[in-house]
Amino acid sequence: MLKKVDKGFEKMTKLVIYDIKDIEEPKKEGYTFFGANQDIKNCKGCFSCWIKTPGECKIGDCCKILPKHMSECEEIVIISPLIYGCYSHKIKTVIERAIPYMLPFFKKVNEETHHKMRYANAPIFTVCFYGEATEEEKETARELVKANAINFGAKKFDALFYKDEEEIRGEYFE
Amino acid sequence: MNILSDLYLCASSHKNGNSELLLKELIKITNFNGQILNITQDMEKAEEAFLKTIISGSNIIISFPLYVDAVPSYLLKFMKEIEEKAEDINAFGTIHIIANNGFFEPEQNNIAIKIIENWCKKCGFKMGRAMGVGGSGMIKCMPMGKGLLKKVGECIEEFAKSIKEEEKGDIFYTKPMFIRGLYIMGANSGFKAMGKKNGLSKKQMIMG
Repeated sequence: MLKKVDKGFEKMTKLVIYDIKDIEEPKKEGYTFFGANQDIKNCKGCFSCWIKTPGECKIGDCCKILPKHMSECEEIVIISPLIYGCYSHKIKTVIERAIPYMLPFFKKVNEETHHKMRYANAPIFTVCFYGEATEEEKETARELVKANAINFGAKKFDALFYKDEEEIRGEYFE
Repeated sequence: MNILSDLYLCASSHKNGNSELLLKELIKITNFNGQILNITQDMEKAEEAFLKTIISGSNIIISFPLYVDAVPSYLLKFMKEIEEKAEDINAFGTIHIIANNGFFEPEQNNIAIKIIENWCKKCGFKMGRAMGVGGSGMIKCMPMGKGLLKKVGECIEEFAKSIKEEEKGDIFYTKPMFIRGLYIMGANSGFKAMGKKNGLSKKQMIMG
């Protein structure tokens, strides 16, 4: 039993969640841009989105709509500075606020415990990291992307590394 | 065993949560008399204490819950701010980690531990021991070191001893003495019961 995408909804192709300063979101058909540089509150770990208002965070900021966006896209693209093998704290905050996308219930995946999915959607999960990084940091980042992809029920995933913000701007924001 | 000058940092917004409980258990063994500082409640105070302790050469133990396969965002923020503030200091202290997660497998904490290791390398901090605790949904089900938590209690003792004796080694892994299938069943029943308390059926919890 999985929640299906709303009937008649025209599927967006990409949901781009980004942490890049001073950038203008382009109007591109099929794209939804979500900036992590907004005033976004931390997840309180209260589980309300699982046990009180299923699928909806009780914090009423811009992240409230995120699970719905995720349930309707073909690809989730995360653009983040690479920090110690992880996302920036701003991107990490957004990802933590996206847990209503999953169900609280557990299942076994590849001999590990993971959450069951709320939605039938299985997007591609692509992460574009930018900035200088050591090989160890890149390896940690690859492992993190793989783990997140499993937890978000992605059908495919990839971790890409860019030298700096400029390279990414050219790809997604022009 | 007494390591009085050490600093214990809790990076969880839950008062009396599993991260704090694990630190308290460690403190019982080490006879530490100071208070636990919580990064989420007073980040500035925690940063100040961190910098003092890392210069003094003492141990810093950071306890946190795994959030979506990594360290929580507020801990990442803390780490980034410490990197900026610690640029010109001589760090002699050692960082130790207790990571816990609600999934059954303690190894799922590995990525978060590697993130802390990468941070230590970048900042020039000495990384000490790390402990990964799985099945943390059961941590409060009985007194630490008893029954199903016997091995978790023993692991905390080993972890404390290795900090005190400055031993090197692999990550300590521990979890309640339980079976994964039953743990998953128990967790699912628990969530279902929590939903029911709020007037929700399992179907409503799924469909929203």
